[in-house]
Amino acid sequence: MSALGPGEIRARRRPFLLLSVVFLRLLVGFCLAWPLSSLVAGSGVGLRPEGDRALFEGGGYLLAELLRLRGGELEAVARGLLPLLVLGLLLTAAGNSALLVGLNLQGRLRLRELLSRATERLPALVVLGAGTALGQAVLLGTGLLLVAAVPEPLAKPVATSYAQAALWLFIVLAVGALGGLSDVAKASLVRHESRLGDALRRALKCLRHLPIRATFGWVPAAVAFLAVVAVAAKLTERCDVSQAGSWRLPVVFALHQGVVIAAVALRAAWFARTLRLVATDR
Amino acid sequence: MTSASSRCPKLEPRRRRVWASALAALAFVSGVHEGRAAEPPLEHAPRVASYTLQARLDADQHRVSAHGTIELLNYTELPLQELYLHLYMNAFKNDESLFLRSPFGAGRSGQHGGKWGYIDVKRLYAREPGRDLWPDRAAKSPGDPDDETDVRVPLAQPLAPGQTLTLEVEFEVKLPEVVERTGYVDDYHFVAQWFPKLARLMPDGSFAHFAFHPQSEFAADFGSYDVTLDVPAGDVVGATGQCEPSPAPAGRRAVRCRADDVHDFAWTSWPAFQERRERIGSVDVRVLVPPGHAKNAELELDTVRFGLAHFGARFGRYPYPTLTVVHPPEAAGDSGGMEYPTLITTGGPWYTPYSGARAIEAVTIHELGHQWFYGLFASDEHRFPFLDEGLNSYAEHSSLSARYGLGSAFDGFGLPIANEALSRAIAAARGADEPIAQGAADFYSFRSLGAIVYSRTASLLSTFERVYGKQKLDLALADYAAHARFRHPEPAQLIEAVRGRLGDGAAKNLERALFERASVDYLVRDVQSAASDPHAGVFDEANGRRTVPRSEVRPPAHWVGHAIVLRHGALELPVQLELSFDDGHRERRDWNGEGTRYTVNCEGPARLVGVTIDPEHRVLLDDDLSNNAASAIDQGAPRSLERLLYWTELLLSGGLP
Repeated sequence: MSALGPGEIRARRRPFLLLSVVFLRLLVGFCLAWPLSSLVAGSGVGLRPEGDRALFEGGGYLLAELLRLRGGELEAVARGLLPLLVLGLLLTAAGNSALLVGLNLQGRLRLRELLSRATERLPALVVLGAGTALGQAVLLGTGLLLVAAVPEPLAKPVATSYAQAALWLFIVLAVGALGGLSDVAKASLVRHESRLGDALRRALKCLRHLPIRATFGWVPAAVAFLAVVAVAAKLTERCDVSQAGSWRLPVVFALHQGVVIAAVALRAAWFARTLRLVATDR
Repeated sequence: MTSASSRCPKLEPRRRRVWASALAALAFVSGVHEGRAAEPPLEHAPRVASYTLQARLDADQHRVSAHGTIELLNYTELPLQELYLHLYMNAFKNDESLFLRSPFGAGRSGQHGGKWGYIDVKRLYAREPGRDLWPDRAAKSPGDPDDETDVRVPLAQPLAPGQTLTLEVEFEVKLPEVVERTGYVDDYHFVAQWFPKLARLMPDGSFAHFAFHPQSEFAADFGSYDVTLDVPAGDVVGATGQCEPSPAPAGRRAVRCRADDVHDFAWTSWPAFQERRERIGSVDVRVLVPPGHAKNAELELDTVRFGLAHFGARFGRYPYPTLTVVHPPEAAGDSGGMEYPTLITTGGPWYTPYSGARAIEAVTIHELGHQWFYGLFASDEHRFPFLDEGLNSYAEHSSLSARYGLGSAFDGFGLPIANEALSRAIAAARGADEPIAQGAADFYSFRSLGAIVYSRTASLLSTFERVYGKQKLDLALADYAAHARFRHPEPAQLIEAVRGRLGDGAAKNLERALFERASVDYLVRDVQSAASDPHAGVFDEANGRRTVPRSEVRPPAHWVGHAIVLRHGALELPVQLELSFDDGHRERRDWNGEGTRYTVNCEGPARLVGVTIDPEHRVLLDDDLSNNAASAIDQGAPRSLERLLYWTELLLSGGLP
């Protein structure tokens, strides 16, 4: 299988691959959510005639009671799930790797070859991802220190908040830019089948030539994602699962999975852009 | 000392008022002694302890120098040999004070102050017999050789019943960095518990005095306050009472504030305050906020508009001509969330209104409620904190519910949360660890006091409202309010008011819950359902033996259901049960809560599949809601699974696509 030409790289070319990544997230998500929901069911909620609808009812009496009585256990189970979460994040990274590889290739995808290529790139992608996360953590830590150092005159609370917000915005943009550049490096790893150092050099080169696209090209996708989440939240609110009606839960499930599909599609679209960015040596 | 009786024929208006106050006080005291709950409401408070002070703030040194007079009317039937003064500011003098000596720093404000604060009384001169009493004082609090907040002062000569003692006083206060609702941060000053304050004179001639405990608030007699405040020229002043400009030297400004029928005086001074004013009914409302807090000011004003009318209708008219709302700057947040007569403090960042939480509304309505439950109904906050904080928390929750419904605490993300739900959970977490009706210092920690005094009392009254009816409870509280207005109510008056409107059963429950740590937990056991059609087998009947083979038994068309509902705990509260059947219909039953067990028996064409106790959440005191329902089928938690699954998938996305 050979690589697609830069003009042909499009997320929509790989609908089944997208759905496979969605399914992977669903599977990992289920493994993480099931123990927690079992604990919720075992708290007495499952034995209520109306089931766990009661947890979503206005006023929050039973939700508050659940957190009071089972909050500690839920926290303990959530802590116990951390290794599984790490594994899930690795699997997500593998899925993203497969997505990058798949978007880059032309012709019918053969699972064995796709997995082989994706696995081949995975160690470098994980190192890159971990390095990026570390860099982002350092930026956030620095941000915390800087925000704490903002003077807070008693009579200027709004100016103080704005200064802190501006600082945070700057830090978040820096974190995002680092993430964007990291994605460009990942695309370079896949597109050119290069080593990590080479991929980073290409990413930096891209940064010099197209700084905005290399660092903030993901912004439209992120904005679209947030809009989808907000719309889904509004629609979910209207479905109101605290009310009787067997249709409500499937509709909410469909809405939420729609958001996940949109998230994966938007990430694929961004990956396609990064592949196009690194397709030609500038 | 002045004998009112000897001058009776030629009374000046002011003295006439004092004498009338004494008579009102005597009438009130005799009512208490005879256990009468239905005393006529008072239009004015008995004027027992009054203060005329001139205070000067040195904003750079954070010091207040003051002098003036204190008048004490002996309204009792016994001569007084001594008096007690509370020097609350000495709580912040050193780490040996009762307030600061705990290494855990777990007072109401949760921390120690950054800079020391104290009060130096320089002179306490009794006009009759003309002698400075201060040298004869006990230097330390009774029974506490390290504390200086509760000082006994022997009188040079007894103060006879009906006589007024006038004391000339001079003192200087060094303010602490803001702690426990008083002090300074930069050029912001909030000055509370700042003057030598007479302990409350009890009807038996003793004083309700106590060293300032980190979990406690205050108690004092009603009186009149006339305080002139001298502050830097650029400062904006907020204070108890009606204030007007007064002559001041260059570079300074002075305001004279007067308040009758009150039992404390607090004030604040800060150049950066911004002001909103509005006349609401007959009350001039003033809101002082830091710059940039216009939204908070509007929200506080709006809450006061609602609260004055709402509380006025339920607990009696707000009788004062002014109300000042002070929103401290964020760095001085520890001076917020407090009540003083005609002045309340709120708090929170400028962006709080945009968060979805009703924090500004809650703190404003809570502190406003204290104008009744503390201000007008001047219970002893040290001895029975539930009478002010507990009843007022109920008033806060019920008023917010009346205004905002189920989303009274938070309304966002499609999930409204009620104050009552949070309060119930906090109260249940501490269960009945300690009695509600005990002294503030008797609670083993402030967290326990918070859960039991604030949350459990509020849940107790919300339970009564929902179980016995809001109208009846409102009438009972109106009776209590009428009796308590300008008096010093005790728990007995509350219990009697409840007995009068809700009956003996409710009064018994209230008494048990307040004094005996009584609790309640309803639970369901053994929900069963079986066919009631004729059984198969061999039956001996009058006309001979009859054998019914199993094949002839019809499929069940008639069912009998059975379940056991139990009550744990001593509170016998009526409760509703909801039976659910497999054809989807539901049926309600009432249990009066008497006895410890209620057996559910039902028959019909549908199968009993579940029983839910208290489906409308009326019994908020129920210790455990998780055992309030049982059904034949475990339904799992599919909605929770779905929501957790979604959140996890988003988490795997790293928050971004």
